[in-house]
Amino acid sequence: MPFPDTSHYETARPEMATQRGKTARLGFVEVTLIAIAVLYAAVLLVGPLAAIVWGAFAGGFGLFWEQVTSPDALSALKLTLALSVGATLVNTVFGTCVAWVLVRDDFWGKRFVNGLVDLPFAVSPVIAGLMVLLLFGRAGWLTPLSDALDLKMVFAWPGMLLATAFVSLPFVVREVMPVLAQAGTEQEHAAYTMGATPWQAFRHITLPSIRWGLLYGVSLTFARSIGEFGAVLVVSGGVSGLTETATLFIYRSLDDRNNVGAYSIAAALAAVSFVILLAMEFFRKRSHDMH
Amino acid sequence: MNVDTAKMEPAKVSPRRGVTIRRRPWGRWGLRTAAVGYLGLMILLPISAILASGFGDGLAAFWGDLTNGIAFSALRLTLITAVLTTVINSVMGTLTAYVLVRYDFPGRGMLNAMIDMPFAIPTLVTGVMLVVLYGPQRTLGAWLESNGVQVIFATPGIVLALLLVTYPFVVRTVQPVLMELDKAQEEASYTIGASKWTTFHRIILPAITPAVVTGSLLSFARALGEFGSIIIVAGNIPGRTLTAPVYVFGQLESYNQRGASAMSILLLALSFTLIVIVDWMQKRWDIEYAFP
Amino acid sequence: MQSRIVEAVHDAERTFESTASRRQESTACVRNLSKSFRGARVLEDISFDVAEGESLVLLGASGSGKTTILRIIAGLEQPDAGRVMLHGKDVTDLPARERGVGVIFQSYALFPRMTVEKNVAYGLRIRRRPRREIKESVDNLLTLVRLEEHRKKFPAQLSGGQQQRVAIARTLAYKPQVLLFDEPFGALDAQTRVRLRREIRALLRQVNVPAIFITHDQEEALELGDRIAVLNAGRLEQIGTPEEIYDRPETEYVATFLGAANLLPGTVVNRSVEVGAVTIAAPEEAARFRDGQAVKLVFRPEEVCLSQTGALPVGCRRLTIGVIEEIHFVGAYERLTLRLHNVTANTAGTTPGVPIIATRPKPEAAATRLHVSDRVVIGLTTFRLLPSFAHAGERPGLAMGVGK
Repeated sequence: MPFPDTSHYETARPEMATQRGKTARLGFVEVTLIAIAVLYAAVLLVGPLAAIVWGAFAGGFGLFWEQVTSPDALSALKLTLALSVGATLVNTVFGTCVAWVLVRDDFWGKRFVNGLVDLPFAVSPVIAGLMVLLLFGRAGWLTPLSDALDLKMVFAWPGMLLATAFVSLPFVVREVMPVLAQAGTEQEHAAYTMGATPWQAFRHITLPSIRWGLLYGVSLTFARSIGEFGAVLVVSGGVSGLTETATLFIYRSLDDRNNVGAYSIAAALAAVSFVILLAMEFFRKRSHDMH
Repeated sequence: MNVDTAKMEPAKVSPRRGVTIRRRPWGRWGLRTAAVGYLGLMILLPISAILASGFGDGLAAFWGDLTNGIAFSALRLTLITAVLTTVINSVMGTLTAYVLVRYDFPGRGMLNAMIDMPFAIPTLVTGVMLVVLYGPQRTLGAWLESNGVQVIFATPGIVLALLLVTYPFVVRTVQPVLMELDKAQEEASYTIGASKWTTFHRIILPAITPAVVTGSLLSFARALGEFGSIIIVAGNIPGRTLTAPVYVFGQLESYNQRGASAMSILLLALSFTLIVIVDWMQKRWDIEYAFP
Repeated sequence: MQSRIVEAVHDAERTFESTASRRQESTACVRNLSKSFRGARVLEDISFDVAEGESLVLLGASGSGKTTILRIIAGLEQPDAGRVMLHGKDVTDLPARERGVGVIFQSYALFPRMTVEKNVAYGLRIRRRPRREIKESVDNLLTLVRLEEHRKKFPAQLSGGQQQRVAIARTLAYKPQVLLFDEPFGALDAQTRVRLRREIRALLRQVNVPAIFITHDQEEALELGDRIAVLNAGRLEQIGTPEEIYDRPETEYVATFLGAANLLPGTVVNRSVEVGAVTIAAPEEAARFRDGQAVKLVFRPEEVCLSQTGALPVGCRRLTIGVIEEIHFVGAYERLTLRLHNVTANTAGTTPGVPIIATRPKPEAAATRLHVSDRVVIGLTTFRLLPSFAHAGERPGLAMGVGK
């Protein structure tokens, strides 16, 4: 899904605010506008967030902990972690590669390729799951290949990994592209003339220049992977303990009327997302400061 | 010391390229192949598979898959809720961005930091949150229901989920444009004697309109595909609260891959069109953000 | 303190002993380079050599192709035709990293995430030299460029001049066969430029590595180059020492691009030149032309002598009479614009006569004061004749060098 770059808002500091000539005295209209905005955000964001925390901890911390550490929940969390790490790794390597090609290379059809990258943003995750089913399901185009490799894709983790990688594909590409363009080629060229191979130039010169942008992209990829639900739901077949991710566990728990379990894992995921959000903010700021 | 040029003269050089063996930059070709290959395998091939599946039994079958009662009403519900969400977002998002950029008030930093939250939280978790808050067994939900407003398992719940999931888009596209907007223009307008409202709609609104539209299109595209929160919140009653993405899931559950593909093709086409428009708008108005 | 630095410089010089032993072959040599970008010719049949310890300046306006030549020598660009030889070895097909050239980029292209010493050490690190050798080399080089106390700093913490010295030290570290300077002073203010030019010349003399500079600044070219190659629209117009280029320009472009020059169209008649209604004797200058051949009479402003009385100094050949239109005092000399009335030549319409520019050194200007509208006799101490390839609509008269 397209995702605005948030690197322009340093509004949080009041001294900057006054520099920008903000209205010093707030009249009736201003107060009303502020009240509407704050109230809206509170109802939309804070309310539900508070509700889930309440839902998870209503039975006490002990119950929450018991739910989170139950064997099914733990294995689900482990699978989510494994899939997220896998998808993030794949997309970091290939995403950087794609970004490099889109920024530095020039070939026929580049615009089209560039457009393809955005598609997973805008596609419903269910459709991502459907893609895996169609390619690797019964009579799928790539089923002979996966059979030959003796790799079970549908209703198994490789397919879920593929679906997760698809859904989180654009983030690294889109975050690395601008910083790569900004880094320019001159330093790389300098390294070449000094005797560096392209790989050495990339590792020593380019990578340090793009690292914060890359890390921001990586954290976005990871966050997206952890939260993926629709695509893995379609591909997994939901075998608890084997193909059940954290989000699938929540979904099944709700179906089984195990509300406390669902709320607990949901709250845990929300907390993890929060931590990632903080990391994202950090990387984004560093990336922004660098340029 | 000058070197005798005659001595340095190499064997006659052919002006034609490639007579001498040049080292080919195979690295560049390798990278290009890897990048294009990856995107081809991950995106182009699966889309082709969906197209083949959806159109596999001919256009008539495809058309039938989309116009049967349940599919059609799912599509209609998705479009209506997405449009509603987009309209509310464009107003509230602009207002929030304006308040964040122009006014200083206690809690502004908090509000600014919170905007990105929906990006990070899994949408399924978002759905669970809404059920906890507005579910019929809950205090707030029960109270609303006794007053005739059903949120969960009804259209308002869908819109609420979409609003939450797409909250950052308009805010985050309008904010930088507002920040770059010259405050002097606004002040000049006041000194001429224009009212706040006149100033807003004569000076500020025209300047931020492209950004508002771009952000709105983004949230529209996102709303069209939303699944995780809706499957929890909507109740998924065919013909009433079943959205298009959930319909696709339902078709897959009942082993109707062609029907699922047909709806997916339509959603894909819509998404792709939106991407193209947003891409064009970004270039046309130079709206800044890394993601189109 | 002083002696320590001197010692360090000697050390640094010793570092380059090995380079010196290869002295005889260590040259850069470019043969018949041609290059087009999207059908547009940017280089046409360029050939030149740079000898050991010599510095050559490629001088040309933007778009003359000088940067492309540099990039081709460095291996960052491939020529369509032609060869590049370094050290007697054909490197045309080698990638940049195997050529051993040192490029000082216009923006210096220092590695921003590495400290000064890491930047300098990079070329050796890539070559997997022993740590001790790297450290020694870096120490010597930092002494050479006088940046010892800045070694732990990052490039962003240095001034423009310091950054440039890092860039130079960084390339010297791996003992390049040739140093390539891409508009090295473009990013600096006027005063720093002058200082750094001197520094670089002194440095180059110490390290004895052939250097190629590219610049559009004629003053820079005159000061930096042992020889200057003037480029125009992808062609090499002339190559020679600064004196040769300045005193004996071979083409009109060279005459006008390097320094200011007056150009008057004329015809060779019997070992003298007819310019409009006047004739000036040119026994030697006209020797290579046949009678009736159209030529351009080229002379520098400082080659003009003026006299109110009509008595020109010895060695100054009388050209004609002119009227002073403008007088400016420009520091060390006085610059005058004169209109020559008898030299109407082929100027159609406008004010009759041809404007020329003359300069007089301050003592002379003080001794004999001249005023606007004074009529003076104009003579030339020296001048050159160039074959004229008259184009339609071409205007005779003054042409100013870009740099002035």
